[in-house]
Amino acid sequence: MSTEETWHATPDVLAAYAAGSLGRTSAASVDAHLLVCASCRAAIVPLAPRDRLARNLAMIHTRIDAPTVSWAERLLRRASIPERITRMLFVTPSARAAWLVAIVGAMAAAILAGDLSHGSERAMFAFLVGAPLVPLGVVSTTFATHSDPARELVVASPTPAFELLLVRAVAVLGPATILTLVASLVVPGHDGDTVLWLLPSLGLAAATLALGSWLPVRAVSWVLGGAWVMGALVSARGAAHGEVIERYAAFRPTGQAALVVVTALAGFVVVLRRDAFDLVDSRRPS
Amino acid sequence: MISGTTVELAEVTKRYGSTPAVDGITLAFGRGVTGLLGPNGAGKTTLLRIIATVLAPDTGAVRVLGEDPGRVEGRLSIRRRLGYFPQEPGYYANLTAFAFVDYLAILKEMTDRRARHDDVTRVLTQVGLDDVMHKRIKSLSGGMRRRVILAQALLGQPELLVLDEPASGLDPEQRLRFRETVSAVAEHHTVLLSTHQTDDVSALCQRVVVMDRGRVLHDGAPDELVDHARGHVWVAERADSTAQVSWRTSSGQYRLIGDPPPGAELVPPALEDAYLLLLGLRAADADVAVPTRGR
Repeated sequence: MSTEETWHATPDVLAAYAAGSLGRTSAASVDAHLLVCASCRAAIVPLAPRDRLARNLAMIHTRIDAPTVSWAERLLRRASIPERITRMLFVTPSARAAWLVAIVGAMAAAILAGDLSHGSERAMFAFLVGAPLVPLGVVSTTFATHSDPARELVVASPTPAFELLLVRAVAVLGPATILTLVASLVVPGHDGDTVLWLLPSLGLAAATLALGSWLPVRAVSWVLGGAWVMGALVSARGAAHGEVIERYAAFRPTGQAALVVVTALAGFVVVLRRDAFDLVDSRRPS
Repeated sequence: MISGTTVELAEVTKRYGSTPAVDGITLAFGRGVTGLLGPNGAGKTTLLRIIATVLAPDTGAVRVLGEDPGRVEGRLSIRRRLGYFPQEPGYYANLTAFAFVDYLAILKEMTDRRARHDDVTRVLTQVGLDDVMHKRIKSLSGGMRRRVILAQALLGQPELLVLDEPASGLDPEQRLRFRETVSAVAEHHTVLLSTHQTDDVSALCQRVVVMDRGRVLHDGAPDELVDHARGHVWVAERADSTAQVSWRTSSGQYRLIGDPPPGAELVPPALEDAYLLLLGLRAADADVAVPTRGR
């Protein structure tokens, strides 16, 4: 095998090349030769296995056509998260908005936790009241009817809309909750108080989803979130030093126990009513 | 012609508050293209949403592709065999056309990436977007965006295609290509097409259902609807206040629909004339606004 003018690849070499059994170095040499030798290109055509060429072409098309993905999505795929899940997480604007809510919320919680290291009881109270609003915001952003512009197309697909929304919510809530939890655990001098926000978070998020199976999720989240904050403000007004946290019923042992019950009941309702998320809003005409 | 039943509706009602959007409708659809005609608010979109399983009726029985959409398993089975073009589809504008259709293919449980990409390429090519499939949707024209939605509806070669005003915003060439695509699907499957374009119905549909205020006014072949207008369409040099609808045509003459005066120059009616007459007669009876064109 040599230049086009004087040498050609032998039939045996071309056959081995076409079959893919030629060594890498020799194959590279044949690659280069075929580029300049029309005679050998013509000779290899009948030898080329059409099935393998079609597969190669399809693979090239797959690579070329594959949508470009963000570094975060690539990272998840390398961690063996299925493409189906990663696309659900990264495609829609509502998923990105939920991430934004979670990141801003977790950062605010971390900053507040920094202030708590100075031992301020009111800052601690603000942290405990504010932290549950992060998951509430995530649930609201993820599940709200109008947060997904292609919602009707998504609902009409065989993938249950509830599963899709839950995947997104959990993917955002998980890291956000861990971040907030870490931020609260590093606060010195408040004993176990720093994790009192966890049950209100679960209760508010679960209650929002449960009621959201009948009513618009965003409206429910605003009402519940507003009631939660208003209750805290009323409770804190005029509270003596050292009693601010204890005065809010949600942070007392009975309140925490009640929140466990609320979360469990709401979770039960959500499971029973999950099909409600599988339809478009039936309360209004298009 | 239509054969075999794909969709069955029995006394289906859907209300928004006290207003009936669909009012006790009983219909059955089979293979071929059925056009749904009607003014805004006639209930076409609500009816198609019920058939597409994204909306539940208040009362009545629905069976689609042999399944009950009220049951979870039935709904899933239908959605696996359904192509749906909603009236207001919505997009992820930052995605390319390919990525958007590919995402919806993932939701349609097409898990094999290579086969999925082949199908995405096929449907985008079928609607004439092969040259721009890797452009972001926000950079595409309105007509192209609607073709992206049509492409996703064709994924997986659905047995039932539900199209709610898919041809709005398409230019004449795109509309011809759309007709070609839809008629090819309808050779073996069922296509339900909601439209305001009577020429699309004339060109595509073996059957037309005219709706108004949640009820069916006419159900039959387009020619049957046209037949109802024979003897009710005439031309004249001037407008006639006794006509239900009239407009000046490009020839300078007036085209009038209604009860013609003696000696009127009757002309063969078009589907649009029959549609306007049907709505106009009903409107006169019910004392509601008569649709007009350049009156």
